Amino acid sequence: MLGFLRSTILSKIVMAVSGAALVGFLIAHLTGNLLVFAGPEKINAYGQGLRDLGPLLWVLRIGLLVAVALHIISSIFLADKNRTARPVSYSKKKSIQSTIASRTMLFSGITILTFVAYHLLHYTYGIVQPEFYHGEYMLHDGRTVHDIYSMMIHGFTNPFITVSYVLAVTFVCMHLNHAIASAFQTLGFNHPKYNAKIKMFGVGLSAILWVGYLSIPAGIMAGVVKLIEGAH
Amino acid sequence: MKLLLKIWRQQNSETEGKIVDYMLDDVSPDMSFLEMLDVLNEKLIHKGEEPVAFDHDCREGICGACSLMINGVPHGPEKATTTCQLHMRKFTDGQEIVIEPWRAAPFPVIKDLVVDRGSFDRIIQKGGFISASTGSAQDGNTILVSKIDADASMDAAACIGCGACVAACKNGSASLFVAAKLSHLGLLPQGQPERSTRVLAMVMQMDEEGFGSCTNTYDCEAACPKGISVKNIARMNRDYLKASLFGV
Amino acid sequence: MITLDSKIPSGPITEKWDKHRAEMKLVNPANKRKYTVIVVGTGLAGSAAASSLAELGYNVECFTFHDSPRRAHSIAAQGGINAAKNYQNDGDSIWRLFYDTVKGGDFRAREANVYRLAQVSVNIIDQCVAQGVPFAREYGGYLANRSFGGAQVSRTFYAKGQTGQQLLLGAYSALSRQIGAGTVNMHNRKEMLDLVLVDGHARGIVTRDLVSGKIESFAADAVILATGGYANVFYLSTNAKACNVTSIYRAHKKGAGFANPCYTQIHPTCIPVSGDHQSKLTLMSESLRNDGRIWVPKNKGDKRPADQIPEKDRDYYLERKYPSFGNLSPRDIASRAAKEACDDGRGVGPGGYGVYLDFEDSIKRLSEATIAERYGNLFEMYERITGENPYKSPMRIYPAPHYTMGGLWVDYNLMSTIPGLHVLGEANFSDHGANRLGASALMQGLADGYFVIPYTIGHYLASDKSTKVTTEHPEFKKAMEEATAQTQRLLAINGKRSTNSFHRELGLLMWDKCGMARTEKSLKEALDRIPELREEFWNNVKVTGKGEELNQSLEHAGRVADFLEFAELMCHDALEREESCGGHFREEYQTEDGEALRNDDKFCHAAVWEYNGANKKPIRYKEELTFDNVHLATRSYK
Repeated sequence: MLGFLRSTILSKIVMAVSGAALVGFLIAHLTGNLLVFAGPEKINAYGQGLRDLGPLLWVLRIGLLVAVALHIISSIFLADKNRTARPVSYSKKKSIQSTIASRTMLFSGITILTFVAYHLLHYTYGIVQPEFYHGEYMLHDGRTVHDIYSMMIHGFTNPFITVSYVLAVTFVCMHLNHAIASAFQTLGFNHPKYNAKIKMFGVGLSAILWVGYLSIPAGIMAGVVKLIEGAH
Repeated sequence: MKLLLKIWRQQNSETEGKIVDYMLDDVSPDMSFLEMLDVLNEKLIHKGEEPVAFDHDCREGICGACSLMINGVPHGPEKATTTCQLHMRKFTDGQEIVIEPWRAAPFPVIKDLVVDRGSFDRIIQKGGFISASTGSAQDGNTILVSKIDADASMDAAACIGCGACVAACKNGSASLFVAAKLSHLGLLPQGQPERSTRVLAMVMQMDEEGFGSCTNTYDCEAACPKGISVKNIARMNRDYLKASLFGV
Repeated sequence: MITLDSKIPSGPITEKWDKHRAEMKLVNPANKRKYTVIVVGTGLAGSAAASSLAELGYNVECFTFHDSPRRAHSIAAQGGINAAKNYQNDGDSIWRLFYDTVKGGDFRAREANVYRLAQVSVNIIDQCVAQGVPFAREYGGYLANRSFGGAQVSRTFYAKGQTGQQLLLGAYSALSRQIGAGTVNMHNRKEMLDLVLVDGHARGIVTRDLVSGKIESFAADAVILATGGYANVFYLSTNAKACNVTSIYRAHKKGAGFANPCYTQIHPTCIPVSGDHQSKLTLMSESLRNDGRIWVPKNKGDKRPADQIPEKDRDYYLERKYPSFGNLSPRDIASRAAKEACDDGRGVGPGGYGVYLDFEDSIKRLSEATIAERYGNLFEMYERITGENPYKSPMRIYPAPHYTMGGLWVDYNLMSTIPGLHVLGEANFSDHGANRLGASALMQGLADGYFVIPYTIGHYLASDKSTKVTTEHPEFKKAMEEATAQTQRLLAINGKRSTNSFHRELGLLMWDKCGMARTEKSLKEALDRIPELREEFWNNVKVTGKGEELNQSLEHAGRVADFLEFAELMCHDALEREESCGGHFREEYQTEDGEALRNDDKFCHAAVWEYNGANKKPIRYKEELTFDNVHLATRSYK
């Protein structure tokens, strides 16, 4: 299965495809989380809806895990290859037209990975803020579900969590700023007619994701999203 | 002009090297960069010191022998210009200039600023050709090539094999060099029969030589003295994927 | 004593090559792998020969002093390659290319060779297209042509302004294919220092590994030299810095006749010298003369900028003197006309050694975009070097040494006077006579390498009855000892002057005394001065470093040592050729209006020199040239 590692180009293609899957996840994740602005009913119902997917949720989770694993494995292989390709470094080296984003993909990637682990410990496993993890919410149809809404608000009232979140989202968007256009190139799509549009798409999508993800803590801090009376 | 040169000196591939400082007076702005080094070398010889070794030959920007990392940029500050055609009028009086060899594992330093670029030759030997033995060709005009394809092929074929792309790349990737040759041949009808085997063989050799991977930073394109476009790398990726999935 | 048997086949000129091919001996395919051939040089001729011979099944040992076989100076040819395809339907033919080349060479080339060159020219284009050389195309997909100096038809094929590069990369790719297949053993960074003869036959070479400094020798059944020309005897030339005469001069010292060393071509369109630091001269393709007009001010000392000199005060001297060829007059004529104008005090630019090459009219007629499409890269190059924009103000150009028509004498089979030693491309003397036409060097290099030597070497190998030798033979040991001794001698002098200063002094001397115009007096002065300079070199040169390492000053010193001997040979040849022809202009021999005056009664021959020992005058032989097909006439481009 890891035969692609024999070739830098195939590894890059795996990076691009798995990365695309992760971008898809980021879009879906954001779309779901933005429901926080629609109030506890909507987002908690959405959360329950995901759990109700049952085996399908596991398929999605495994798919996501595979994408993450492939993305990481190929990046480790490539990083090692790249490191050994220049055993003696320059005493002076300038970049000519490369962007900071493109030169710091490994760093932004590792930062994101660290944050994702923390994020999972926080919201998926309830280890970071266990006191807010077990909240319950009663839907209009009478079902009692996990209260995601309050958990998010409690999370973003903690300044450390908020700051790390803002930084992480910024790194994600910086990563994507290069990654999206770069994936097109890696997959062999480069045409003068479309290059400007691809670049715009990459920058645009990362900007949208940045605004979208940051709108949640911003909304909470601005008081647009707040705890509902009676909820705990 | 007066210059402070900080030049990498290394006796041979076995020994460690270091940056050595040289002051140079009376540099004319009309000199080429290599002529400036000639002047330095003449002075060194007079003092009984060994001159700085560097590769160069045609001094008109086409043989690809000259190299040099000048203040952190391959072939120096002027765009689309080889070191031999870079002139001192692009520098200022009193400037400090750091001069280093290309740095990449597949380009080991032989002496001072001279590196071994044999890895490029070995990549070409794996497939950078059309197998057309002497005498087997039909009349040139029986193969029609659209002007657009011929021009695009020529743009890629303009590569001089200097290695600036590798030197500029933060990963020491040879993608631009390999892609240029693949595009040159792959855009022509004559190059089609071997297109799949060529890309597989050349990329495999590129990886075996120990070059890094392409991260699409495009510093290679900016450093290329012939302005070879990174769209050739996209074409290589496409061809490689296609050949890997459906090729022989 | 050397004998000059040109081995020209009998019969009508149009049939000689076919007849010869039918009569030559062949080596059968199974036997080819029993033969080893050494090829020195990987320019067009060397790469083409090495790859073609390997394709046939011979073992090839191929040598270059560069780091890669892709760097040879053939790569710098800009304009194009001639071929008698007549794709333009403008009246071209093999005969016409043959005729133009003989006439362009001022009737000092061997007819039979030139005819064969014109014949195989068409195969070269086909071969190069098949290899993937991206020649310029018309919109319909057909091959495009441009016109070039010395011809009235459009027969020049080109790949932007980088034709030499593309043809060399084509030959390099063919060579690389054979290296990859293991049929060519490629030796990079190994410089030939001497030729090894066993029983009078060329059987090997001695080399120095430029990285380790190791002196080695290699044995073979035949040796091919394709090591280019010697224009660097002038120090400043359009040749690459490393171009040198060593290989062919060492072969000459071992007995190979050197033909017409005085025939040197001065290229009319180079960027003028900018100062004492100048290390080489840069050529601007002659194709620029298609659309550029050459002029100088009419009046001496007119120092106004070009755009302030009105039409009436300009002298478009080529158009005036040669109305039918105008700016496309052959190189020797255009160069001399520039020198005349400058000597007359009408030169432009700093120092007054320059003439204008002006594109103003063409830009008006065709648009700047068209000119940029045709010559964009050349214009950029000009701007990089001079800091001036040629779209706005005219270029300044001046002639510079560029190509050397002389070289080792070879017979019709490209074999020198030493059996087994074959010489190809610019290193031989064969096809260009006293002057080479533009876009013909690439043609000759590839013709020799692809389409002549693969046939003729088989003939030699099949006819040669001598036994195999190895490098254990005493002759190899002796040659290696000599080469080692020379290296040690150079390193031991430890004098005061750098090699470069000797090279510069020699170059200036040769340019002044044996350059674009020569006189008996100037040549005699040079012949007095060269031995002195050589003596000083061997007593006062300073070569730093050691022999057993990469040592560029040692490499240079070895080459300059040979130039210092060779320069004398060149002057002897120029002195004894008491006529003006092509690239050899003796001021004593000119017509009333300053044109070259040939003396066909006395000098219708190739002068072939035999080495006669150190510091002794070489011996001059003649190969009489007969012109049965093109009648000897005064060359006129009026």
